[in-house]
Amino acid sequence: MSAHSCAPRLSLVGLLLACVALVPDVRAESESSAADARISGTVEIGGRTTSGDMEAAQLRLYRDLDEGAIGAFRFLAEDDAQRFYLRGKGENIGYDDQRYRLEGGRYNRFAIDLFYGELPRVFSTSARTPFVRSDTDTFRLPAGVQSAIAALPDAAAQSQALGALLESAPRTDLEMRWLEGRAGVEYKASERLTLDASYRIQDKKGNRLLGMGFGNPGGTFLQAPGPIDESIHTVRSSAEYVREGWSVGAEYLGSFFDNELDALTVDNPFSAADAAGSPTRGRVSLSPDSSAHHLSLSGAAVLPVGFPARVVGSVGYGINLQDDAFLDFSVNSAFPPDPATGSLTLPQRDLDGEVHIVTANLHATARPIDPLDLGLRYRLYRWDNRTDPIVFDQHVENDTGLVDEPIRSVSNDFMRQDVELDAGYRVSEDWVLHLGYELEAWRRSESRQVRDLAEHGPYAKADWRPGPRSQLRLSYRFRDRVGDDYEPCAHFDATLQGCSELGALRKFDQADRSLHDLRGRYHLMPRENVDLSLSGDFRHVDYDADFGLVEQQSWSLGWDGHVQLHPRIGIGAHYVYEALEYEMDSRWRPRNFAPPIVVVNSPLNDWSSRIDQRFHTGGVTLDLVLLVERVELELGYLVHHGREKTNASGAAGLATPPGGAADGGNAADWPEVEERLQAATVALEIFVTDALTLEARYRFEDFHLDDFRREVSAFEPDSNVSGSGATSPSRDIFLSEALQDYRAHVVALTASVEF
Amino acid sequence: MGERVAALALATTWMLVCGVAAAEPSASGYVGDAVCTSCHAEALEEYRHTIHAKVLNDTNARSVKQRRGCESCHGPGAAHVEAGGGEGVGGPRWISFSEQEEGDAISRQNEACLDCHRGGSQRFWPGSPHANRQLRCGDCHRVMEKVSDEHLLSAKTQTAQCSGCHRLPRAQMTRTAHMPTRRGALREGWMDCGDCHNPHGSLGPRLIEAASINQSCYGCHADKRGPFLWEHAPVTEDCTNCHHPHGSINPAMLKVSPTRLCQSCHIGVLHPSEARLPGSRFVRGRACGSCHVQVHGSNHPSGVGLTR
Repeated sequence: MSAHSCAPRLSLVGLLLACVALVPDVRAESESSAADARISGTVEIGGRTTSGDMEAAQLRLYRDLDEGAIGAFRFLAEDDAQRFYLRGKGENIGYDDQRYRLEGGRYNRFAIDLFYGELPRVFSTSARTPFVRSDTDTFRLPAGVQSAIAALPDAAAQSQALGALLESAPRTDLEMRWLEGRAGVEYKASERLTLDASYRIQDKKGNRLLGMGFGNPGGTFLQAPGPIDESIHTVRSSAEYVREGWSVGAEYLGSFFDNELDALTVDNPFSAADAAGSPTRGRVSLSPDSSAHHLSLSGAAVLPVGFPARVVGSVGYGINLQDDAFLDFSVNSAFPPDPATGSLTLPQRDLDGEVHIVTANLHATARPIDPLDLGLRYRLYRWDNRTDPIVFDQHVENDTGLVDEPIRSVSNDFMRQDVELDAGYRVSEDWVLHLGYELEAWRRSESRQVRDLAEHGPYAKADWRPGPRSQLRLSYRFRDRVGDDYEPCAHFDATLQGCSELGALRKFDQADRSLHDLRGRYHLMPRENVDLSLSGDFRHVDYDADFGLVEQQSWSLGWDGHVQLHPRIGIGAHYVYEALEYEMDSRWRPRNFAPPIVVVNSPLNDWSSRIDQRFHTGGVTLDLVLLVERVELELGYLVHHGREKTNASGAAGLATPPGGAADGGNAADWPEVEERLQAATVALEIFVTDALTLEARYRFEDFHLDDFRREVSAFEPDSNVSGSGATSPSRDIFLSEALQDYRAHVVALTASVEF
Repeated sequence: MGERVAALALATTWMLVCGVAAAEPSASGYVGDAVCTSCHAEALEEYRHTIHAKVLNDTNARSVKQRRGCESCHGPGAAHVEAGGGEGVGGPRWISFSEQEEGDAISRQNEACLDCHRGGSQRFWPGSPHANRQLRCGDCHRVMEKVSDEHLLSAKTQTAQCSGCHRLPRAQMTRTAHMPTRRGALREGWMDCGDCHNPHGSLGPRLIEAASINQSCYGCHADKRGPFLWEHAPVTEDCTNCHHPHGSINPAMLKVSPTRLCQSCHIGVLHPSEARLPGSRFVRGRACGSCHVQVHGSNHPSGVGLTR
C-alpha cells in the first residue's frame, strides 16, 4: 500500500465536500454580485474500490490506484469584464500521483502559472535484499555474516551459505517518488514584446537497483537498493520582440543538478577483513552535481525580395560544469592513499569538467514562383569538451586489485552539422511533390574510432489530395554514410590501455551504412460519418561491417477507423503491427592467463545473433448516447501483445588456447520474452441536472510478462555458467526485481457538481 | 403592415450600417461581431469559452486587428453578409477556414493564424515538416470550441491529438517499459508529446524542442549529463543509440536485450565476446549492467570500466 496515510486524502476530499456544500451559495453570490466576478467550475467527489493484484509494480508504475475517497476540481473565476482570471484544477487529490495547477492574470497581458505534481515510479515490489541501510549511503550485511562466509573453505561452501542467507532475505520495495513544482510568469509588455520567466524543481527520492562487481570480470557481483536523493532546478527566462516582418528573441536556460549522495557503499559477503583481493566493502560513485547554462539568440525576418521569402535563425552558447570532489581510489583499507610516496593519491581534487556547447541554425524558405517552394536548413551542434585529461598512475580495480599502470581520462567532443535542401512543387491542385537532399556530417575527437563521417542522400515526398475527404502521403529517403578509416584501438590508445577490441568490429554509430526509409499514410473519409486511415513504414539499414550490428530492419502497418453509425452511436477501432529485426555478428575471443598470453582470433569462433521483435496493438471504442442529454456510455478495450526472440548460432569445434578459458562461443537461442496487456473500460455518465453529473467508471487490466531475464531470485545457483554449459558455484547477489503479472479491477463512483 | 415591414427593414439596415461604421470605415468591409451573431449564435455560444473569445474584443485586445472579434481571423465580412453567407462565400479577403479548401487556401488559413502567432513556439512553422505536408492549423486546433484544457486542440490531450496521425508511437507507449505518457484508460498522463517535441517546427532534430536529443533528455535526467571523468562516448552523443524513447519490451526502454546491445559494439577479449547461454548471470538480471553500473559515465577515479 501507499506510504501515504488516508488522513490527508480524506481531509482534502472533505474540503471538496465543503466546497460542494457551498456551491449553491457561490452560485447565488455570483449571480447576485455579477458585477464583480464570475465563477464557474466543477467539483468531483466519490470513491474508488479495487480488487486484484493491486501491489504489482507494473500496475503501480506511474499511478496510485489505492482504494478510498477520490476527488478532483477545476474552476475559473473572472471579473465581470473578463479582463482578469484565476483558473485552477486538481486531480487525484491526496494520492501519490496528485497534481494541481493554478493560473491567474489578465488576458493578453500577463499570466502567472503555478504547478505542483507527484509521480510515483515503482520499479519492483518483489525485490529481496540481505543488506540493511546503516547510513544514508551505506548498506551493511547483518553482523557476523561476512566472517561466517569468509571462513568457509571453498567457493562451493560459500555459495551454499550465501544461498541460505538470501533465501531468508527480507523484501524491499524499489520505488521512487518524483515531486515537481513549477512557477512561471509571462508578461506581454505590448502586442510585440513578450517576457517570460519560469522556475522548476524536480525532486526525486527513493531507491533503485544498483550493483557492483568485485574482482575481475568473472568475479562476483552484488545488487543493492541504491538510494536516490536528487533534485534538478531549472531556470528559464526569455524575451521576444515580434514585428510585422521580423522578430528577435533571447533565452537563457539554467539547469542545476544536485545529488545529496556521492557514493553507495555495500558490504562484500566474502571478506571479513580488508586485503588486496578481498575487500570487505565496495563503493561506487553516484552521479555528480553539475550545472548547465545555455543562452540563445534567435531571429526571423521576411526577406526584401520580389517574392515571399523568410529566414529564421539562432545562435546559442552553453556551458556545462562539473566539479564534484572525487572519491578515493578505493574504500578498501588495503589501498590507502599515501601522500609521501604519491601512491594512490589523487592528481587533482575534482574533474573541473567544462563542456562548451555551440549551436547555430539557419532555416530559409522562399517561393520564387508560385507553385514552387524552396527551403534550406543548416544546423550546427558542437559539443566542445574542454575538460583536461587526467593521468592516473595507478588505480584500484573494483576495490579489489591495484593496477599499477597509468590510465588517462579522455574528453570526447564532437560537432554535428546538418544541411537540408528542399524543393516543393505543386504539380496540380491535388499533388504536391517535395524533392530534397540531406547531409549529416560528424567530426569527432581522436579518441573515437572514426573522426569524420558524412551521411547524405536524397528524399522524395508526395502528397496527393484528390479531394477534401481523401489524402495520401508518401515519402522515401535514401542515405549513404561513409566515414574515415576506422581506428578500432582509438579509445584504448587515448586512455593508455592495451587494445582488446576486435579489429574488424564496426560500431553501429560510426560504421559506414546505407539506409532506405519508406513511409506512407492514406486517410479517407468516404462519408461524413466515416473516417479511415491506413499507415505503414519500412526501414532498412545495412551496415558495412563484418562484426557488430550488420543489419537492421523494421516495418509497421496500421489502420484505424471511426464510424458514427448514428448520432447516438460511434464506433472506433485501431490496430498497429510492428516488426523490428537486428542482426549482429561476433567472435568468441578466449585467452589464457599464464604467460605467454595468447589471444585466439579464429573464424571458428564466430557466432551470430538475430533479434526479432513483433508487436500487435489494437483497440476498439464504443460511444453510446443512451438517453439524449441524460445518459452516455463509453466502452473501450485495448490489447497489446509483444515478443522478443533472440536467436544465436555459432560453429561447432571452437578454438581455445592451451589452458584457456572454457568454451564461450557456444551460441544458443534464448527463451522468448513476451508481454501482454489488456485494458477494458466502461464509463457511464448520468446527467441528473444541468449541474449534477453522476459517473461510474470501471477499469480492468490484465498484464502478463514472461521475461526470463527479469525472473531472477535473490540467489541463482546455476547462473555462473560458461558457454560450454559447465556451472561454477554462484557467488552473486541479485535483487530479484521481477515484474509480477497482474489482474486488477478498479471501480470508481463519482458525482460532479458544476457551478 | 407593409409600412411596418418597411420601417423594420429600414431600422435594421440603419443598425447594420451604424454597426459597421462604428467598427470600421465601411470601405474596409468589416461588419462587427453583432452581425456575425445574428446568424452564428450557436457556434458563438461555444466559442465564448475559448481564449480567443476572451482576447479578441475591446477589453483585452492589444491591436486594432484583435478588436475586430470574429473578423480578426476571418477577415472583413461585408461581402460574406451581402452574399447571404455560406461556407467559402465572402470574396478574396474572406477566410472561412473550411476543411474543404485546398492548395493555396490552406496557406491563407494558416497565414491568418500566424499573423498573431508568428512568435513563440510557432516561430519555426514555415518550412517545418508539418507545414511542408500541407497541414492546416485547423487540423490540430479547434478554434471555435474549447475541447482541450490548453492550446485549443481538437482532442482532449496533446498525446491524443498527435496519435491521431502518429499511431506507431502511441502503440509503442503500450509496451512494458515506457514514459508516463499513457492517457485515457491507462491514466498516467504525466507527460505529453509536447514535453519533448514542438509540432510547429524546431531547430533541433525530429521536431525536438531542445537543441539536441540529449539536451531534451537531460531536462529530466540531468544525472546523466556529466561531464564525467570516464565517459561513454555514444551516450554523450545520442541517448537513442541505446534507448527507444516511446517504449520497449526491454528494461529501461533499451532497444534490445542489454547483453546483445552491449555486444553490438564491444567484442573485447573474453567476457564481452561470449555468446552466453540464457541462464548466465551475464544475461539475466541487469546483464552487463550488474557490474558496469555507471554505463552513462563514472566520476570515480577507479571507474575506467564504468564499474564504479
